[in-house]
Amino acid sequence: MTAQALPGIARGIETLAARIRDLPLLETVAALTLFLAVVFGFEDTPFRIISQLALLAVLLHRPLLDNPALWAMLAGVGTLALLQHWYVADNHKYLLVYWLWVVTLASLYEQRRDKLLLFNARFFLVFIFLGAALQKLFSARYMSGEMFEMLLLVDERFRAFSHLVGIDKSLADAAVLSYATLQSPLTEVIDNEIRLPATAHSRLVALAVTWYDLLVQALIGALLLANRRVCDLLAHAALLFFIFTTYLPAPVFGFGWTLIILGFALTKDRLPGIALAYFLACLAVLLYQSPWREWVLS
Amino acid sequence: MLRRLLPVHFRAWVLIGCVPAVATAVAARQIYLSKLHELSTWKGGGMGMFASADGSTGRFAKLYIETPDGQRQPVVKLTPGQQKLLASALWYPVNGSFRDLAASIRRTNWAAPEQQTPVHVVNAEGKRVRPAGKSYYSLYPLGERPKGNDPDWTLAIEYWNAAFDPATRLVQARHVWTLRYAKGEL
Repeated sequence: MTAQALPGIARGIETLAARIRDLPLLETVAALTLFLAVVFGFEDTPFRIISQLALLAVLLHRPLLDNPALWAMLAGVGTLALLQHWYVADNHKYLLVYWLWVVTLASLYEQRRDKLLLFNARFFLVFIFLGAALQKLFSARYMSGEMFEMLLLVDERFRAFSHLVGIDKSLADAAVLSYATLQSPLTEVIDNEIRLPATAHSRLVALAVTWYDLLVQALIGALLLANRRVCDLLAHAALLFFIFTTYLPAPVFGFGWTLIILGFALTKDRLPGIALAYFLACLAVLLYQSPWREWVLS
Repeated sequence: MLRRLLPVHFRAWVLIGCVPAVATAVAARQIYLSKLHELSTWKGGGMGMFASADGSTGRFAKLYIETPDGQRQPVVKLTPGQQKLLASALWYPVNGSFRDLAASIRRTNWAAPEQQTPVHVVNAEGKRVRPAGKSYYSLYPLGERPKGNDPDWTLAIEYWNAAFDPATRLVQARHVWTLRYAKGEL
């Protein structure tokens, strides 16, 4: 039964991969980017209205998908939103704006649009991952494991993940209480220092996450920088692993979606089987929005 | 314009490389502000999210209202809007970032319970060891002031950051600076 099904599945994957290869690069990337802008874009009213109108326009008239005026308008209003909140905006909002300008330029510059998209997709993946890895490497407070241990113990967003990796909820509750005491203006803490109820297990988990995060990011950036087929294969495998594992605990879905677009752009023609995996990663990122944290904690 | 000024080959590279050039410049500025002006590594386009322990967990503020008679009372509760402004300002805790929060706090009526809350000295294990010998009214928000009614007190915002030492398991808080917003300054 399994032996009969396997060739069928393999044929199905091949057909899908061939279909992906046949898709026009700019239009597919533009469609994914428009989805990103509408679903994971800025919260500002002008950006929301313009991105939703752009989506409606494209749905009514598909050739607008590579219209430079439409993309310039989205990039312009995104830039204004970013400038207004530059020190509050997450890094993926910066990436969104950069990528909107890249799509604008690609739609303008017909002769070399694929080259422009491919160069920028590779640049931004290297920029994101090597930039992050270098910042971590030069930060003493990252390399000590301090950051992830604090996050695992006192950060609400990591509460479900902490619980999942065996850090008891009562421990995290006690850590939050101790930290709140330190922050309160109604207490005077001797020498302004307070002990957190950290354990050898929380330390071990924090160090594992610290080193995993650094190594996987350095690996992806370095492999993509090499720009060789074998290196690219390994880099995309690592990037897909990163997307599937990171955005489960870290609720930064816009970042995940941006990485998928960049990875997809690089693999569509050269490695269509991997491009198909990026489509599956899209589904994973959307599913990760389910309230699994509440389920774990309850 | 670009077509007339630049040769074809060079023009292609300008179009291909202009967005990466801007991104690199923004990242360089982020590193500068992060090293010298307390901008969090997590923000500002330097791709340093989760790259250092100076995210929202490691930064906090203590807010006080200082009256002309020399008294100082802590603000212990903010409106949801003010909490959002405070959280934003802590990513880049300089004077300009706190102005909206300060203006909102100055527009708010602050009330206090009848009884003062005694302050206690607490040890590293979180246990009370003795009274600190002072007590505060814990201020909470009670609606907006009428327009043009600027109160006579000064708002003091203390910016603190915290570092965790995994070896000793101690979190050490450090008072970095205090910003003051007096009557007529905003």
